[in-house]
Amino acid sequence: MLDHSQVRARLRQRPPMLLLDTVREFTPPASLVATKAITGGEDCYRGVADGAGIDGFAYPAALLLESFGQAASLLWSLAELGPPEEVPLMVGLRDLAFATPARPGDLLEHHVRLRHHSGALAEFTGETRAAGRIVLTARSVLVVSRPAASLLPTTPEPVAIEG
Amino acid sequence: MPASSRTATVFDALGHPPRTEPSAEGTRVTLRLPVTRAIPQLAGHYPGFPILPGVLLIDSVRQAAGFACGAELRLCGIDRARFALPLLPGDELELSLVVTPAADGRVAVRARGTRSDGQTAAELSATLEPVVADA
Repeated sequence: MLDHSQVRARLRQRPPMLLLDTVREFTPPASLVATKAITGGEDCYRGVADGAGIDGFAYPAALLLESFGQAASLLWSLAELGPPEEVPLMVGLRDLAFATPARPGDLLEHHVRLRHHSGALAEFTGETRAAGRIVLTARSVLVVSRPAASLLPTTPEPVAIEG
Repeated sequence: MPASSRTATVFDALGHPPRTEPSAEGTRVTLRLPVTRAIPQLAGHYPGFPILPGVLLIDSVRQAAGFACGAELRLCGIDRARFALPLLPGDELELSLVVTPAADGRVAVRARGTRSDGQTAAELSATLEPVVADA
C-alpha cells in the first residue's frame, strides 16, 4: 500500500540508514506489515572476506532492529499518533529475541502492532518473519516523538554589538 | 570497518581499544566511544540533524563484549534497554560493561553509557553467543 517513494516521504532516515522498502498492509487503527529486502550488496557486507561461509552473511541484529524500528515509525505516521514535523525516537526496549538470522535473498516482513499510546509516547510490539520463519520477536518497543528542532545541537546566543 | 572480515559489520566502535579487568561477576569492560565513529551512518540518521542511532550503541556493546571474550559475538536477546539522551556529534560516551558467563556458552552483558557530562545516556541488558562462521 506504500511503495518505496511513499516510504521515503514519511521517514527521515536516508541511506545508509534507510532500512525499509515498502508497507504491504496497514490495518487501521494500528497495525501494519512492512518489508525490507536484504541483498548481498548491502553496506554491511562490503568487508566480508572472499571465501566466507554463508553464516558470515547473517544480517546484523542491530540493522534488523533498526529496520523494525522504522516500521514502527511508519505505523506512528500512518496512525497519525503525532504531528508530522515530530521525529519518533526509540527510547526503550523490553524482551527482544533474535532467532535464526536472515541472509541475503531474504525478505524481512515486520508485523508491528500498537500496544499503547499516550501523548508523545507510543509502545509497539510485533515480530519479523523471513521465508516463513520468525527472526525477531519484540514484546515492547517504546518510542517518544520530539520536535526535530529540539534535537539540533544548541548554539550560543548571538552577541549583541552595541553602537 | 575491517577491510576483510568473517562476518557482516555495521561500523567499527573499537577505535579506542577497550580496557578489561576481572571483576567478581566476570569481566568489566570500558570503552570510550566518540559519536563521530559513526560518521557514515550519521549522514543518513538524520540528514541535517545527526543523532547516533540507538542500535549502534547496542552494536558497540556487542563489539566491546566480543573484545573481552576474544570472539565475535551475536546478539541473542535484549532483556531491557533504555536510551535516555540523544547523542550528537561532539559527544563522547563511556560505555561500561559487565560480561558474565551464562548457560550454553552464552554471555550475559549489563552495560551503561555515560556522557562526558556524567549523565547516563543509555542502559542495556542483553544475552550474546559466539558466532560459528566458516572462513
